Amino acid sequence: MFPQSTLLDPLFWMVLGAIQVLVFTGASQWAKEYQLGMNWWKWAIVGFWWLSFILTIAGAFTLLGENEGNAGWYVLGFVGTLLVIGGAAILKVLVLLKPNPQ
Amino acid sequence: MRKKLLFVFYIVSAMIVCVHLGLRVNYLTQLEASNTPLFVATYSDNATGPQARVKDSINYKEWAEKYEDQTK
Amino acid sequence: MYSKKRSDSRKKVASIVSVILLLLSWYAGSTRITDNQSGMVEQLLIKGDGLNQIDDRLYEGSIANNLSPVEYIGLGSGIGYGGMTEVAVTVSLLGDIQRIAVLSSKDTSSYLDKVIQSNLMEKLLGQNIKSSFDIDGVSGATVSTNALTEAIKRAADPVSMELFGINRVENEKSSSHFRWLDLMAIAMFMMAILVNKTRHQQKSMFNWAMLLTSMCVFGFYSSSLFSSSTMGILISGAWLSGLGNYTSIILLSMVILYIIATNKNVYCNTLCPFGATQECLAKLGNTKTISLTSGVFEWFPRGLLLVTLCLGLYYRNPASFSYEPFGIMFGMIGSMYLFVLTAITVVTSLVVKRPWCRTLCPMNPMTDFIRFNRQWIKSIFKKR
Repeated sequence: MFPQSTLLDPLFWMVLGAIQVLVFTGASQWAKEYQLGMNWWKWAIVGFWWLSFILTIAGAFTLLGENEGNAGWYVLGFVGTLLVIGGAAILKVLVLLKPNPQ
Repeated sequence: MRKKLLFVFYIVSAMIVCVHLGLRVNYLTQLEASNTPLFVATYSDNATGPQARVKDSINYKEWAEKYEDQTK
Repeated sequence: MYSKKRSDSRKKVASIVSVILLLLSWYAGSTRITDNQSGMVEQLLIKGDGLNQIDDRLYEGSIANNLSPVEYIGLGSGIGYGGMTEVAVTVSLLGDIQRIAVLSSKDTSSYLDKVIQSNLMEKLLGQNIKSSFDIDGVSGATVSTNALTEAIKRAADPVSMELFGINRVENEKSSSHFRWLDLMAIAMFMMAILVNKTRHQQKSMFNWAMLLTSMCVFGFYSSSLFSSSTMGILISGAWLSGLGNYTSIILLSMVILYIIATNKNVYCNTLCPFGATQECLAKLGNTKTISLTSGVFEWFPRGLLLVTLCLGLYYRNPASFSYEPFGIMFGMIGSMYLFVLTAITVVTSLVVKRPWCRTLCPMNPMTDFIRFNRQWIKSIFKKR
């Protein structure tokens, strides 16, 4: 993202990596709190969505760093928005498929 | 919480819209002041664009005929 | 009671000031030094040094000390989205097109850019004006393409007449721009009125059906919903000299007439494609209806619409001044800023219901203006 800077560039990618750690460790806690009843295929869908999201952000910011300003913003705006909508849809489905409390 | 989000959305949208309109005014003013056409496309013999290919294909036929005459 | 009176008198003042400002903008626009056409045409000479005007659509270029012309420049115009697109064509003595220039356009610049980037004009360079032009359309920018195409053909006409004595058949009728979409707009509007009036059990379902149909037809399929630029086109009278696309102005006119007649707005809740998109997104997320009630939030969109309309009138170019996300949402055409606006509106729609409608949509100021003045005029007539 900041290829011209020797400080900001590694910092940016380290922060992105750190967020990943937090998300991964927090995800199962979060799912338990909301009693979503996660199983293997639900995790697979969520994992796929998260992978797409992270790749989009990484890709968009790499483009921005490569001075491809327009391309970067378009990827973030177009694909990013679609993924956010997709994420909301997945969340809705997960909530609908919640197992009934015993 | 949602009210705050809508408020933020309002402010950000308003800023974007104002910038957009300002840029449009700037663009149109400059366009009028410069009195130049919006866009000009000029034919060029040396161009490698689509129009050159058309001309080349016609010339090739003529060239081929001329060559045939010359080598007879 | 007192504060209502104060608010009413403030609205009356604002209403009158708005109309005055619009008229002033219109007048100021007419005093503007408009495009110096022959000055621009002079820049299009290739071989010639000097320009000689033969008639209002034909110029000849000649070299100094030489009476016979070396090239001709023809001018033509085509009906575009917001008005006329003017084109000039430089033609050699053999009739080959040497240069094509877009002198002015009233279309939204993003659409024109898309047509220009498709190399439509470059493909015509080198062709002879005796032959008929094969021009490819540009999907998503049909109106602008047609305007440019018509303009280039019309520009070639006077040159063709001068050089070869051929009168190219002009069979473009401006009235032939009415399409099935216009009929669809009228039909859907009638149905919207019915759906709003009915007390049927399934009213909500009918409403959803209307919204979804409108989103698909007037939104994603044709991107022909109206915007603040349509309002500008309507009040500036640009539609009187012909438009490339009548659907949006037909829709807008029907909405305005219905509000004047019945004080009701059936468009926003039943027909608006962008509203429909926001409603669909609202269903996905866990949304709530939120309003911002302070006076500033009510008056800012009004001022914004007024400024936009005034600018459109002043520059005689209403299509250049629009600020809605519609173009991006349904056609992926528009400036980077509107693209960002669309993205954040879409994301916010997942959390708040219809955020664009609740904040900056120009429909609210327009409806408020018409309703207020309708009531005011009614009360004046009642007193008499």
